[in-house]
Amino acid sequence: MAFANTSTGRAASPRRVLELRKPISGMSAAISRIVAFILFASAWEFGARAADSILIPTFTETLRALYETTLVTGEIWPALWISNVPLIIGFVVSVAISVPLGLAMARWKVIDQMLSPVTALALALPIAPLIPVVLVALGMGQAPKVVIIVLFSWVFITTNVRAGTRRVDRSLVEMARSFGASERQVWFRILIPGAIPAVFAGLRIGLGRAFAGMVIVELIMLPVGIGALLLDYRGDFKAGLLYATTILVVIEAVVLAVAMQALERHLIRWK
Amino acid sequence: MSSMIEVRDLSHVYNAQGQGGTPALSDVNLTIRKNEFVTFLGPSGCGKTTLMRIIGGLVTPTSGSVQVNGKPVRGPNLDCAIVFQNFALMPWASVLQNVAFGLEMRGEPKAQRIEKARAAIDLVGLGGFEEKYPKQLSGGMQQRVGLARALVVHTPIMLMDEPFGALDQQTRRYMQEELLRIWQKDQRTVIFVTHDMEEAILLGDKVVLMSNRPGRIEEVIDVKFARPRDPEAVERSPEFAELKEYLWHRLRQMHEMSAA
Amino acid sequence: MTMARDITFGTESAGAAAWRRLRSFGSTWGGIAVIALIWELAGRIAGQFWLPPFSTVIARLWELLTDGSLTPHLLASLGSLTLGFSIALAIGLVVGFLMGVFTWVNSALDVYVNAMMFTPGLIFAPILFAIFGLGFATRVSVVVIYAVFIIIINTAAAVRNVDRPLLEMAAGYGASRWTALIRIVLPDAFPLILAGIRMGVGRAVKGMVNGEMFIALIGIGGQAARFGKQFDFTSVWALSVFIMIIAVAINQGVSHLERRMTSWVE
Repeated sequence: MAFANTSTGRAASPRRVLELRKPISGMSAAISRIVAFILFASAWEFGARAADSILIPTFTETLRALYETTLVTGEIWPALWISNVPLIIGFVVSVAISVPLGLAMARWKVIDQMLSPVTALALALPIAPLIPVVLVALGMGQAPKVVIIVLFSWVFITTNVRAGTRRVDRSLVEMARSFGASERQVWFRILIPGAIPAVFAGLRIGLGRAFAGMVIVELIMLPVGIGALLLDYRGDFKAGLLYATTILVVIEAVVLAVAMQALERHLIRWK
Repeated sequence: MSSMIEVRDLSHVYNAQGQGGTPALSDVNLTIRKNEFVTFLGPSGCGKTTLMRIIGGLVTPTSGSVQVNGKPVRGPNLDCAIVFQNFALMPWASVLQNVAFGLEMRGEPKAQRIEKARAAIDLVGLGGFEEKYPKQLSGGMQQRVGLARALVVHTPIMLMDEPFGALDQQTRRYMQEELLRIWQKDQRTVIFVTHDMEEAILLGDKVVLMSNRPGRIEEVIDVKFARPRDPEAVERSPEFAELKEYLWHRLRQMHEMSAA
Repeated sequence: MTMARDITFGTESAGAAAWRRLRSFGSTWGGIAVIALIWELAGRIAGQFWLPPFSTVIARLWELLTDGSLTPHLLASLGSLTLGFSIALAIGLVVGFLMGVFTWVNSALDVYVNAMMFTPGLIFAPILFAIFGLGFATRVSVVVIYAVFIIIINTAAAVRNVDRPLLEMAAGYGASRWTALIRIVLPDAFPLILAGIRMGVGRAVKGMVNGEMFIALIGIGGQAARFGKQFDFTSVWALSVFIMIIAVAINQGVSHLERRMTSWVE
């Protein structure tokens, strides 16, 4: 009797099952990343050369501008600083308000019922058109920018913290109570540790929103910092610098998000 | 010779690319005859499900050969119908559509497959639930759908991967009785993977006892209760207790060996 | 803007469902009425021109809607929203599907897609403005940038998370990989893809408003920016409320469709 199917190969994957999460080696992942980048860069380079427009820099021109603005003139740094100060203050204020609010909504039904219409409306209310209102109400200086950044981010932090904390296993609270835990102990031993992942998810989303608030306020109402640089470069047809600055903002957004994720992973190792 | 499944020198290593894969099966040889009801029993991680999946063509082994119905296995084949541990029902499709899925894949005309599917649904006791969706059914009823889907394609072989493992005790018992009843009427080769000793004895003509890391066949035990089987009579018999005692002894031995 | 929805069970009686709906309706509108009342009082007591009372704002909104001055802007907004969202949908579904099915496409693109998810879309407005000028194309592209990446990410995740046992089942019962793609992957990924589309619509509305505010020429956002610069805060509030109503209405409509189309989801 012939056993024709004596396969001694290494492949251990089924033949006709559709594989959707087919693992690929780190090598081929790296190759596909590099190829994608080269394709992207050369499409940009040759597309821009073909377009031959003062408004569309080539990839290499953009790289040169990136080098100039960060290392030669250093033009980007003061602008980044100006933009980021209200972002930091605003985010801290927003967290200080929103996290306790979210926790309280999750714990007490009365507060939840009182505030859920507010959060529901705040989720839908567009903040950008209201920027001039805040400016006129609060005058010049950092205060209006800080308030706008808080307005952009608070509701996302609050709703995420609330939703996540409500997912903390109720039976754990009952367990703690059955062992004689006080309200205070329930908070510090069960609810807060259990809510930390949700709090971080809220902070991550909130930081993204705060960052968006910073960008939007500078671009449509108060041209300072990065926003001012972008609008000036556009006005002066400094296309390379315009693109380079935009790329740097994207990089900052990614750095912030990645840093938040790293912090999250570091603090919640038990997950 | 009426052998339906021939497994020869089969070994399987997970993540075989590169070094240090996990050996799952080692030197497995097994012959299963036509219309035999075989149960695979062993501790978790002994590769019993992997062996079943290799026979079903869902996993290609690292080395060795499997022949089903005289043909080498090259991927999922139409000689086997599979009943899955977690039912694998399409939640967007009705009971009827789920049961008819295999027929549809085989290109059977619509009227015919509806008729056959309805008959299979009646056979597993789900008449009247044809238009329900999986989420509207209990776990036991969902697995009846899985069973009907496997029965209706009339394959010579049925592969069952811990099919009743996710059900509660009573439901599991009903399903065992149902399976015995249906198999008696409509005999075919069955491979039934389980980690429940009583289930393995009650259902099987043979119990293939497997040990873990790497999985190998320790012993093939013949179970000689007469067919058709009356589950209660079987369970009351001294032979049943004896066999269970023996299997328990062997499993404990394996456990101590692997712990040492 | 993802919020957990109540899970409704099929066993609930029609009467109980109606009562629950009535109660949640009552508490929603009750809450809104309270907020409107507080706003009204705050506006009257503060007497600041940047915080007009609610009734004044609603009266202005009515005026804006009935005197026809908003109509061309509404049409312009709707145009860029529709076109931009359609483009985002087409690109998002195709790219997301490719990323979900082919691991190498996923590893080639995931860095960029994630980076763009973190980045506020309006940052590209100056570049788009430089390329396309003050016109329609700039507004449409802002909408596309706002909406497309969430659709890509959800579609890719939906396809990658398709229930593996179902794919094995399909193969075991004789489905080819192509058939499995059509019969298993598409329906199984459908609910999550729809959720991505719903979020994409929400982001598209934001992109529309922000893009128009940036250009400050046409559209509802453009009008809002103009009113803001003229310190006409009653109109600013009126348009903000209007945009909010539109956003909620679109979201409700899409959610409703979503529920109807995925009634089989557990």
